[in-house]
Amino acid sequence: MKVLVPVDASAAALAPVAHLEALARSGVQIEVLVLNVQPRFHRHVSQFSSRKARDLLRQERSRIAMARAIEALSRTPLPFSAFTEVGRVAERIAAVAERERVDEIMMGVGRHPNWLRWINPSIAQGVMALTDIPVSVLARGQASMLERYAVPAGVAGLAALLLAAE
Amino acid sequence: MRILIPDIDSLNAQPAVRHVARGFLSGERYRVHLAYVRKSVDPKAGYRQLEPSRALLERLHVPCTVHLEEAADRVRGICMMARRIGAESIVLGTARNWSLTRLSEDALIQALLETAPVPVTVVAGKSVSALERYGVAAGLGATLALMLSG
Repeated sequence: MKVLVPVDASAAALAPVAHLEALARSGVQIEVLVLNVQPRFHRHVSQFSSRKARDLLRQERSRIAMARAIEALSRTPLPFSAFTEVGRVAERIAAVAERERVDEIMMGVGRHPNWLRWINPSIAQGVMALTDIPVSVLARGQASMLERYAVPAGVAGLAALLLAAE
Repeated sequence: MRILIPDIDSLNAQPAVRHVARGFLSGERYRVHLAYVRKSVDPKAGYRQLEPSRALLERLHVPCTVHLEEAADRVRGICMMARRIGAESIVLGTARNWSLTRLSEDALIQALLETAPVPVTVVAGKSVSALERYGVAAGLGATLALMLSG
């Protein structure tokens, strides 16, 4: 079974490693492909920097993002390879999954409240929209109280203040 | 290992069942739990809905159990069932994106992804037909235009 594990620098992204290790222990043959996608820079940034400098920065960010996943996988008997892509995250994940003919895409994600998902849509959902390959999502953690209540309450309070001032 | 396949769309549940069966045939060993979770359950309708999936699993000799459960909140009902049966994974079969069916399923999928106590695998069905993709949208647009002009 060939599994694509897209990672960023978050702890939640490492969730698939333990799950895959457990699967391997139960006798399933697993090959892991670790992928980190670095977004393209906005053209206003690109025009003031050289291609080499941008590539170096992406390489450095990618190395940092994948370091923990590679370290965790190195401690397991799972065979793995790691690579980086550049572009829109969900699009590149789906494209790499199709290109490498993986059996499954496995993503570890953090839990967030609905309003935050509305502003910043889930990458896992984006990937599901782009490919027929099964996508497994391992949600980790809890939305913080700040995310859940304080920020919406703050925004509502600010709006109320603005309305009252008019 | 126990896998829970909740029925959120009987037509598109088939790719999920096939995905699980493929794993079973390639050597993974587990029991599949098919679940029909609704606000009010009509046993006859529930069994009828799950029958194609159950038949497919039986044909491939994959051990399976059928559950019918009433729950006011489907997402909570599915999560509670996953905990109760000790499922290690939830597999959802859904319609392909940009279809009208998927639009109605998205809230449930998102809520399950956020709250499920175990990994959730989403297996999308076949691409939607041109009729579903464009016909329905065109129909809705035309109705809206008629209402506005009237």
